[in-house]
Amino acid sequence: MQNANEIQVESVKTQVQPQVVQPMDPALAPYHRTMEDIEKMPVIEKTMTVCPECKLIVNGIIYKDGDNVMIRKHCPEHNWTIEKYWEDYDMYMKMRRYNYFGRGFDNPNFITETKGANCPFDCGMCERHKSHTGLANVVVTNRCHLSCWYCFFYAKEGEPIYEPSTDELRKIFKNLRNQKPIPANALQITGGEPTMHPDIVGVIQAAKEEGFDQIQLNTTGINLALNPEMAYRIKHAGAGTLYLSYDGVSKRANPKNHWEAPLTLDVARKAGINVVLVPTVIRTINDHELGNIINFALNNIDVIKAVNFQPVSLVGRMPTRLREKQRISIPGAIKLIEKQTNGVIKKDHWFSVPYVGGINKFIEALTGEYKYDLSIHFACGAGCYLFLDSDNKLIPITEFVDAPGLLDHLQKAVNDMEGKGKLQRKAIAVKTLLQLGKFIDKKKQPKSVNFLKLLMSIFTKHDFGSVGTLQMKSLFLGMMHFQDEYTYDIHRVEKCDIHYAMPDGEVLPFCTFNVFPEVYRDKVQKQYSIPTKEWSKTHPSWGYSKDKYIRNVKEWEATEPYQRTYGRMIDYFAMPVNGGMPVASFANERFDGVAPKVAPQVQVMQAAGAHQAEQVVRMPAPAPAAAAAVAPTMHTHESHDKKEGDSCGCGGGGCGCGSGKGAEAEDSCGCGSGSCGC
Amino acid sequence: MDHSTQTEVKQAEEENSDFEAYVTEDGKKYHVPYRMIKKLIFSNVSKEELKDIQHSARLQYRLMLMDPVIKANVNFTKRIITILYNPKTADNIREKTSKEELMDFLAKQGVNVDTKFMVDEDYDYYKNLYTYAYMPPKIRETTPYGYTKEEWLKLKDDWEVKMQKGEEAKLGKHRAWQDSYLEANPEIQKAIAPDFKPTVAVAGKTSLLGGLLGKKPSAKKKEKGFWFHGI
Repeated sequence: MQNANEIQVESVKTQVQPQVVQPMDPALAPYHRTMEDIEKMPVIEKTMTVCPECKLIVNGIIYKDGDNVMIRKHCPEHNWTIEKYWEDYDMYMKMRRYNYFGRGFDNPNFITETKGANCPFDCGMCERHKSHTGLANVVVTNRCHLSCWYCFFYAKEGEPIYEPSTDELRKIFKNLRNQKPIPANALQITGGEPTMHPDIVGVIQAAKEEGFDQIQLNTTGINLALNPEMAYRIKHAGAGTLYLSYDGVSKRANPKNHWEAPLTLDVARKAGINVVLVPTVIRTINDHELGNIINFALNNIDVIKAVNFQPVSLVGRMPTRLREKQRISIPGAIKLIEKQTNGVIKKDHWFSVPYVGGINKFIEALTGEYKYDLSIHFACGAGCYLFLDSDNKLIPITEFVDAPGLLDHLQKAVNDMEGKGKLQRKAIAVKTLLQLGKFIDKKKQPKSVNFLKLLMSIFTKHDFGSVGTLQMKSLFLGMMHFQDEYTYDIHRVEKCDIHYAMPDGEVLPFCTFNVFPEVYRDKVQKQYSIPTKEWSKTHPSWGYSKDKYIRNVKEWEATEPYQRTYGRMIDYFAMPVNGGMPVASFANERFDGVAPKVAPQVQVMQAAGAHQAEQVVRMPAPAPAAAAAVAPTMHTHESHDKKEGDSCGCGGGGCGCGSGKGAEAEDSCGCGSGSCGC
Repeated sequence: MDHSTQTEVKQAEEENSDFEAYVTEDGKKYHVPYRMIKKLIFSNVSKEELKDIQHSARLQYRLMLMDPVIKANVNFTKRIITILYNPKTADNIREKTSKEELMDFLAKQGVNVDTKFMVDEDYDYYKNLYTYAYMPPKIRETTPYGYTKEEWLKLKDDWEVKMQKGEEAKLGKHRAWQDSYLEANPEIQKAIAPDFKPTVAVAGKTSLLGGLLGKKPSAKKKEKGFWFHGI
């Protein structure tokens, strides 16, 4: 007879389900091999990187693991770190051939005493950097009207405010324009939310006066949707592009500005501002919507000129399993696009950003004048032009242009020109240009585009202004993968051309500024910030909560632009001319019984603070009372009463993701945040 | 910023209420949080304690993590540690430290510096760091692709004149575009510039041959097209 304990043990044993060994997800397998196996993998190249734990500079080995390119590093204190670097070996090797060294600054803002040995902790930008500023980022404020869970770029409550004056920003612009030999020419004004700067129009004007040709505003677009007049002023001052954060077409994927985006697009349309959609791509969060985002952009191609996907940069410490789950690289996203668009946009259609350098070199060799140089590392970015033809056929540029052949042809001309006189160079150029036709398949090119003529125009006008014509009939698809401590590669950093200009006069590559904020971004901004107490003295009407925006989802969904934009989308990929297969995740929203309301014409920016509202001249509204009756209102925390169903985004009706689950538990609503901006 | 640091800043701010955090250049005010700070140099640092270049770089990173340290450099090859720090005597509201605290910190990191080989001198942040970064001197001459230095130096003067003229013309072109924008959008014009009076700008074109021969189009009303910038 068994005693009680034994019986209990037996019964427990029978209750336990037999352990089923879950097969390893093949996508995660490269993370879970033994070091013995990993060390047998073929090495592609060696670099320097950092230990994500202690920031010790260590050797990084980039190696091939099946179809993946991985990076491994060993820290004597924290052991091995394995990370996906590039999720397609063939594509890596294809892109790699376009790599070249560009030119840094002839007048660097900082001279390193250690000849780069301490890189990336000697940054400023030093004389060893290998690219000039392609895009200058300038932070104009760290205030933001949202509080996104994943964002480190805005001041939390009680934190000091960084908001340089227009004169201070002009000084930073001057500094960028003083770079030699190639002055920064494209500027991205960023934040925080840059439209929160009380003199944002003056700031843009100052940038234009200092000589920037291209000015972009990195924004959620919400303030512009609510205050169209601000958009007109911004355009008039010289900002040509809204760099609009947009993480997905659905509410679930894009709780940040899903509701306001349609009105932002309408406002941009009217103002004549181009829009670049910027989805941050996170595996398992919004990676199923990449094709649909492209389709959304095609539906608004009159105003959306580009979609720039940014595979997530997992900055900060995070659990290994979550990192493995969420990691996606440029080819990972490209392959998903191929799948979701049923092969209309294939991985072979993409080219590496430094590819453009070949065209640039040819123009320089011909003219003897410096030209803008996109000499970034090949693994940092990729691009593809997608044409929407008159019969709605989608044609990627590389379908009708032999890109590698064209580049070799131009490079040969550059080599031939070396050491030649002006006339000889021009003769070589004419000969080269006359042969361009053989790299273009006219039968396959869009009916609405004469690409050869366009290309000739680029070469003969000696600048890229002609690409603007190209943009009129196409959508630029871009990929830009910023680094984090796990993927860090110093070879990439030293070629970075997206630079941040700091208030202390120094200039930093994106991936040192943001990957080591504790010694760069946050440290310097804190030095130049104003403590909240002091800030409150000079801005008596300001309050942290007053800055925050709360939406009324129902009101937004009832507006005409919202219903038009999300209710009447065309699936371009489902058209017979494009193969007839629907793009993944495509769905029009239904608004049964909800009559659309007129979009707002005017809103005073209450949330930006009274001092800001005073700066704007109000646009004459047709009937303010009537407009107020139909327009979504901007609530402040003071005015907002949390009625049931009044989905302000604070958990009452959820984050607006439409799941109706609310935010009572982490990720319960599925928006991936567990927070909704309140 | 953690709360304790925030409190310290506030206290310091009250204690140094007379500190002028702004400098004036050409009649314009600029926020410069430091003036006279200290430059602490330790030489003859033991190579064994610095270990290697990688550990030296990490030590530099760790020094930079300290709020009162403005810049740090640990040069393994030359066995020198240089620290720009905000001293306790400084007349500003930012976090402060002393050389003793910095030496303690280094000792905790396993680097014992010798005061015999220490220099602690005044350092003008505004003049040496801030102003340098805003007006860095030219240290070299790179050339356009396909040109040797000799070839480039012959072309350089003309190019600089051309660039200068281009810069001057640019703003005029922008103003012309602004006018045309308002003209083309009367509703926007009414909203943002009710007193606007239209002016006329001349458009121009370059032929294929003209382009190859280096001729440029005359001022256009049209704004330049959009171009992606690697992002």
